[in-house]
Amino acid sequence: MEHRTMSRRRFLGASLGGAGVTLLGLAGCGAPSGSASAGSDHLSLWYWKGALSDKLLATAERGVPGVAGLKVRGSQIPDGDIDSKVRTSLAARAYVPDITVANSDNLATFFPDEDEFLDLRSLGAESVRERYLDWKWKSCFTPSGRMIGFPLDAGPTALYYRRDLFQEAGLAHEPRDVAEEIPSWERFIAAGRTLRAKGPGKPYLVSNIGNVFQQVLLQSPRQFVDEDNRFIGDQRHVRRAWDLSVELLRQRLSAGITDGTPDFNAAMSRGRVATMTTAVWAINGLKDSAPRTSGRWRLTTMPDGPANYGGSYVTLTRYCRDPEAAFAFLTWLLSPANQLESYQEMALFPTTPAAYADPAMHRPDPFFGGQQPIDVFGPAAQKAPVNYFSPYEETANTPFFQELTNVEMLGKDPDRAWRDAVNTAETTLSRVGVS
Amino acid sequence: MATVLDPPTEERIPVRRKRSTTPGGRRRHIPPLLAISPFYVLFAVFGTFPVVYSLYLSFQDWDGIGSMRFVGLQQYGWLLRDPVFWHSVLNTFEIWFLSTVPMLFLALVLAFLLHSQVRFTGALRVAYFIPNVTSMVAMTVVFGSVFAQAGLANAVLRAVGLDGIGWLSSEWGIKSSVSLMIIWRWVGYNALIFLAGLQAIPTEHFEAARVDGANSWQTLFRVVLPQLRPVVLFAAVTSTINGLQIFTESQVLFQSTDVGTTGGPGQEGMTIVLYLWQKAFKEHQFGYGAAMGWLLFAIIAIFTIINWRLVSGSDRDDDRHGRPGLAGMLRRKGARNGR
Amino acid sequence: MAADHDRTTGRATGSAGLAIGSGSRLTRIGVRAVLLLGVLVSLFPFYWLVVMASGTTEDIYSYPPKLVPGPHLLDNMGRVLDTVDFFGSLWNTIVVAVAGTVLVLFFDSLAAFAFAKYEFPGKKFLFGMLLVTYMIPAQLSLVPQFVTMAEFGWAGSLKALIIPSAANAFGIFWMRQYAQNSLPDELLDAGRIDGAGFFRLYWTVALPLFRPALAFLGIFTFIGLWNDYIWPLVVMINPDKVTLQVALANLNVLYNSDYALVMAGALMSVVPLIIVFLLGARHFLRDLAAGATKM
Repeated sequence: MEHRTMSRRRFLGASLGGAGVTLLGLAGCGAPSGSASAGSDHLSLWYWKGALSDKLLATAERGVPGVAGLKVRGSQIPDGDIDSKVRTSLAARAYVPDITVANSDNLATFFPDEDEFLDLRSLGAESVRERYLDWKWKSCFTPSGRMIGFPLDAGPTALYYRRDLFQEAGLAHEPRDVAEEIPSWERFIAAGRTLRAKGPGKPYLVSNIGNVFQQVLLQSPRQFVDEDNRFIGDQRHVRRAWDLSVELLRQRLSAGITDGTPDFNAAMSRGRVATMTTAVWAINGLKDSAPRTSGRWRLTTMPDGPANYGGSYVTLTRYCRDPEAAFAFLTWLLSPANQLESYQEMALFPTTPAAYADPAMHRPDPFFGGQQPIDVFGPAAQKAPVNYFSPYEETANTPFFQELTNVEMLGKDPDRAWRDAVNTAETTLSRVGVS
Repeated sequence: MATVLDPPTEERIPVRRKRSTTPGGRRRHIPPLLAISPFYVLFAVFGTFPVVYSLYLSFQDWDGIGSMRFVGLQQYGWLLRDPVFWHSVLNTFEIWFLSTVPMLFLALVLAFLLHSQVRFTGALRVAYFIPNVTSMVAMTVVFGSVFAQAGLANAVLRAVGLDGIGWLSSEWGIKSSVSLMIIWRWVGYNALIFLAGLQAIPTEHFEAARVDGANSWQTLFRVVLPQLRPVVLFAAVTSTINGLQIFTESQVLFQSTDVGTTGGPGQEGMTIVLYLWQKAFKEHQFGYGAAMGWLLFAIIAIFTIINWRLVSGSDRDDDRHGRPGLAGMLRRKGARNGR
Repeated sequence: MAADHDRTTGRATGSAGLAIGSGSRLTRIGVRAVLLLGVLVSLFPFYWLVVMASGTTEDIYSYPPKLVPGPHLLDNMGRVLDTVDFFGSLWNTIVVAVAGTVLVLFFDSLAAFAFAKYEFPGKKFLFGMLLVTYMIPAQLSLVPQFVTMAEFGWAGSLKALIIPSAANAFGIFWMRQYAQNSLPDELLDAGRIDGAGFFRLYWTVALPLFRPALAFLGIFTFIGLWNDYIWPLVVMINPDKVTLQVALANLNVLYNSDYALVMAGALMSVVPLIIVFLLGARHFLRDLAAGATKM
C-alpha cells in the first residue's frame, strides 16, 4: 500500500514543479490517520436510515455496554450512496469510517478491494459463529476466504396487501386464503385484474413493475453473473422475471410510480396501490409514508414462495482505529438479544435463530390489523433461496432495471428494451472482464 | 470568448510615463509580480496541474483504491461506443435548446418592457434577479415537488380540465421540467443585461433614425436590434457554455430515486456532467471520468470557436458596442464554475 | 411620449425609438401587467416554498392544493434542527463564503492594481494567459482535482473549498478594468512623491477607491461560493462536515417521505443568502448593468 502512496505523491510533486512542491509541503502528508474518527474519543460508523436500531446507536454513543471506554457514533448516509461514499473515502484515504454497513448485493462489490477491509476471523469471529444463520455467515466471505462482513439482518419477503381493497373487490382477503388463492405470479396478475375492475377507485396492483422483476429474480439462486464470472443475465431465469413484469404492464396493473418519491407516498396514502412485494424491513418505510392506512394492511406468502431481499452486513475498514473494540461493538450490537430489540424497533429481521422463538418476536402489529408479521416472515426466512452475488452484479443488472423503467414510463417496446439491456450489460461487463 | 482575447483593448492602454524614468532597475518589477503571483500559483496547482493530470488519468483504468492499469486510448474507445454517453450528449443539447431559445426571447421582451417603464424599476430588477442568486439545490427541490405526478403543476392542469402530464416520467416532460428551471433562473438575469445594453444605445442614433423618417418598428430593427446584437450574442455564448455543464437540476431532481435510474426514467435527464460525476464518483471509474472530461472540453471548445467566429465579426463593426456583455459573460461563467 | 422617459442615466431617452411603451394608456397598463406577471412568476416558487414548509406532507399533495401557508412552519423547522446539523452546515458555508470572498477580493484587487498601473516583463503574456484560463471548464478536471485534494490531505476539509478559489481570473479582469477607469495616475504620483511603495499605494490609495467594485465582486463571489454544489458534493467526504447545499441534498434523499421537513430545510438554506443579496442588491444590480455595458 505504502509504495503506491509514495509514488503518487512523487508524481504529483514532480509534475507540479516548484510552486506545487511548496504547497504540497504546506499541506503536509495529509491526515495523520485515514479514519473519520481520528482525534476523537469515539469510533465512527456509517449506516443508512433504518439499517440499525436508533435506540442501540444512542446507547453506543454514550458508551458500548461491556466495553470499557468505547463510544461509537453513527452518521446517516443516504441508502444508495453509502457504497460509493465509502469508496470515495477509501480513495482519498481520509475520513474512512471505522465501521460501515454494507447492503447484501453491495458487499460483493467490495470483494476486488478486500484488502481495504479487516478480516474478522483475525479478531475472533469464529467464536460467535454458531449464533448466526449458516447461509448468512457463509456469505460474509470473499472468494479468497477473507471474512469482510458480519451478519446484520436478513430480508425475508412477503406479499403486503390491502385487506380492505381485496375484500371490496370480492377477492379472498384473509392472509391464509390469499396465500391459497394467489400461489403464483400468474394468479397474482389475475387478482390484479379483479382489483382494477371491481376494487374501490380501481386501485393498481403494484406501484411499479421493477419490484416484481426484482422479487422473481431473487426467487432464483442465480442472478446476472455466475461464480465463473460469466454473464447469465440473458438466460431463462431473468427472462421469466422480465416477461412477468411486462405482463403486469400489459394488463395495466402498475401505477408506474417510482418508489420513494413523493408520488409514491401519495399513492400509498390514498390507496391507489393495493399490494407490495418486498422485504420485512420495508414495514417502517410503509408506516412512515402511509400512516393513515394503518390497520388495513396484511401480510402473506409471496406468490411462488419467499425470497431474501436485502439484509445487510457490517464491515470494519483497514483504517479502523481500534479493531478489537470495534469487533466487541459488533458482537454486542448484533447479539441475539439486541437483534431482537432491533426487530421490534426497526423491523430488522434477526440473523440469530435463537431470537425467533422469543415471545417478543410474536407481538401482534396493529398496522397489520393485529397480525403477527413473524408468522409470515419467519417461515420465509427459512425457505428463501440463497442467491449468489458477483462483484459485478450491479453493473450487470442496472441496464435491465433501467430498460424496464423505460418500458413502463416511456412506453418502449419490451423486446427492443430487452435486447438493449442485454447489449448494454454485455458491453459494460466486457470493460471489467466479465464475458 | 473572442473579445476576451481581442488585442485592441490592450493596445489602447497608454504607455505609462513612469516606465523609462523611474530608477531602481529590475527590482522595481518585483512588487507587481508578487502582486499577481497568487493567482498564477493557485492556477498552476489547481488549474493547470489537474488538466495535465486528467490527461494522464484518462489513459488509466483506476478505481481510486487499487493500483492503476495503463490502458492507452481504450477509455476513449469505450466512451465513443458508450450509448449512454451519447444519450447524455443529446439530452444536454436538447435541454440547452429548450431552455436557451425561450429564455433569451423572454429576456429580450422583458428588457424592452422594463426599458419603457419608469416607476418601480429598482424593485422590479431585484424581483427579476432573485431567482438567479438562489441556491439551485433548494429550488430544484421545490420544482421537483411542483412537477411531481400529484404536484402543483398537474393540479393546475386538472383544475382547468386537462390531463396531468408525466413531468418527471416522460421524455419531454423531464426535459421541459429541467428547461423550465433553467429559464426561471436565467430570464431575469439576461433581461437586466439586455436592459443595460438598451440603455447604452446613444440617443443620437435614435434621433438620426427619426430624422430619416423611420417609424418605431423600423427603428427597432434598424437601430435597436443591430446595436443589441453583440449583447445578445454574448448571452447566447454564455448560455451555451453554462448549458453544456448542467448538473445540479438533473442530479437533485432524481437523486432520491434508485441509483439505477440516475437522470430519471429512460435517463432522459442525464446530462454530460451528471454522467461524468456518476461514472467517476458513484462507480469510481476515474479513468473513464477523466476521459469524459476531455470530450466535454472538446465539445465546449468546438462551440466556443463557432461562437468566436460569430461574435468577432460583429465586434469589428462597432468597437464601443462590440464589448458590451463581456463582464456579464465572465460573471456568469464564474457563477457556474463557482470556484 | 416615451421620449420623456429620461432615465437617471441620462442616456435612455432613446426608447423613443421603441414601439413598445410608447402610445396609449392602454399599452402602458398592458406593459405593467406583463411586468407584474413576470414578477409573480419570478417570486411564486418562493411563496410556494413557504406554503409547503409551513404545511404537512399530506397537504403538499392534497387536491385541490392548499394555496396559503399553514401553521406548521416552526414545527417543521424545529424538526430540521433535530434531524440534521443545520447550524454546523450553515457555519461551514459561512466560513467558506466569507473566507473565500475575502481572499478573492484581496488577491484579485492586488493583481488588478498591478496589471492596471504598472509595467513589468511578461505583462501582456500573463494577462493573455489569465483570460485563456476561462476556456477550461471546471468539470474537465473534476476527477484530478479530487485526487489532488486527496493527496494534499485536504479532502473533507474546508480548505478544499476555499484555497482553489482564492483568486480568479474574472475578478482580476473586472477589477483591472475598473482600476483603469477610476484610479487617476495623479493620485498615485502624489503618493510616490510622499515615498509610498507599491503595497502602500495599493493599501492607502487604490483599495479605498476600489470600494464600489469590491462590493460587486464581493457579493458575486459570495453568492457563487454559497451556492456551489458539485465541488462540495465531490470533495466534502466527511458526512459530518458538509456545506448547506450538500446537507440539503442529503436531507432530500434521507427524508423524502417527509416533504414538509425537506421544504423547511430548503427554506432555511435559502433565506440567509436572500438577506445578503437584498442588503447589497442596489449596488450589485447597478454594477452588473454597468459591467455589462461600460467595460
